[in-house]
Amino acid sequence: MGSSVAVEVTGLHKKFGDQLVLKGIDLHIDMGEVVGIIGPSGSGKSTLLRCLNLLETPTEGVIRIQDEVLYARQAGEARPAKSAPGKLKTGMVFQQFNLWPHMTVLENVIEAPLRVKKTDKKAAIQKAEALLAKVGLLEKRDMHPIYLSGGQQQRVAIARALAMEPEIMLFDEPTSALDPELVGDVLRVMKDLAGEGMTMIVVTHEMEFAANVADRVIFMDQGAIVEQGTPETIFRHSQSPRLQQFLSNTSFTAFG
Amino acid sequence: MFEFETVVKYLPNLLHGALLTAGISAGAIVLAFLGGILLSQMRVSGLKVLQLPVRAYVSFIRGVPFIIQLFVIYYGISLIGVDMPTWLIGMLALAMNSAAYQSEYFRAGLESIPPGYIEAARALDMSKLQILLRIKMPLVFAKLVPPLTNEFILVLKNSAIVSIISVVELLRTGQQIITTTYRPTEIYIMVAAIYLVINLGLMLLINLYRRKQSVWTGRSGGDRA
Repeated sequence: MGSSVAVEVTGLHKKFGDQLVLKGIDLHIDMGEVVGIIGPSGSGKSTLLRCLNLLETPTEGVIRIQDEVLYARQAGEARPAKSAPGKLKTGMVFQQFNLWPHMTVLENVIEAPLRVKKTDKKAAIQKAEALLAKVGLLEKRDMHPIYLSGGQQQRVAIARALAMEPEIMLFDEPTSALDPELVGDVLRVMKDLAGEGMTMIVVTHEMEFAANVADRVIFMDQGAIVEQGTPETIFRHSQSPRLQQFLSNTSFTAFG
Repeated sequence: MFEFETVVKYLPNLLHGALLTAGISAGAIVLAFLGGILLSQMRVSGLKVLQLPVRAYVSFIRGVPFIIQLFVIYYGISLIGVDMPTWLIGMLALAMNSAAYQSEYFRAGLESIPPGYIEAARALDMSKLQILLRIKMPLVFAKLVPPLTNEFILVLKNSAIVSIISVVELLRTGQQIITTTYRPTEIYIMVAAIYLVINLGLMLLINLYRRKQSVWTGRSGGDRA
């Protein structure tokens, strides 16, 4: 392959209180890969994603993002050897969009470049406008989020994440909070992004998106990766009964 | 008979006192606002060494009449030999009192911010200070306008109490005029009217801020789910 590493996770554990929600995850993702993570709710897929930018602090394990260790802690160590170094290389899109309500669309997009990257304001606005045009919402630039539909808010949220020029994009059920007729616009933006070669990790309930856009699909259940492979393998030649049962419970039939 | 001449004659004196009242109150409101933010940050820090003193302080302020807090500070300051004008002591006492109440409002406001807004900022690599100043505080202020309005008005009205440590503000100016004119009704009505006018001005300012805000909170002022 010769691709460089995007994400390398080894022995990742996460406990909430006494409850073990990630039970030793090993995961390797190359740059340019689009990975879909599916699984029943409570399987730990969102927690895994949120560990990749340290929104959740792992209990133990190692996370590398590209050539840098993001987090490292061995079992029994009092504190992590490494946690939250320099700048994040990931951008994240949330189920609830989480646009800041007190800022306009444009202000949402330029906030982090201005404050975190100290980008010159003119350049930040230029870049933001280009991104808003790309997600089809340039005409909403001066509106506040409350006046946008969920689908529009989510596309702004994608533009906001992209404004920081992340190497890897994390999507946490980006269409789950949307009315069905608004899902398409968001998925289209994500497909375009994948087409441009962006490395993407997408926790999703959209089986069709996982099947058609992802290079690889990971099925998680009860805090572990149960099965992974190409969409075709996962959706047509699944091995584990747990995955077969999960798929039969979803209405997805793309591969018949 | 209501003597208008007395009121007119002494109006400049009263307005002079009113200026001090407004100044002391404005200073106390600003100090208390900043102090309240600081105390609330200590309170939500998760560190017991910071939390416990704040809790004790807030209990003291809540549980003791303001006039007694004022005496404790007034005599305390002279006891440790610090020379301070009485208006400044009054302003500090007002600020220390209001900061405790405001810190509780800020704490409640901070806890009511949907965590997703903070997570979005963290995922974009914003620092704790940036998140506080750019995300948390504007959202908290929006929620807190009504209780803070009450609190600011309370500071203004409590400022009358500092007349007791002989700060010649609006009330004490009025009382001094009464001792020479023997027209308490006229003067007290005038004093009351001036307090009311200052308060109305304060509310006008706050309403301007609210109108600016309604652009993003929506007319109902309600929050998104």
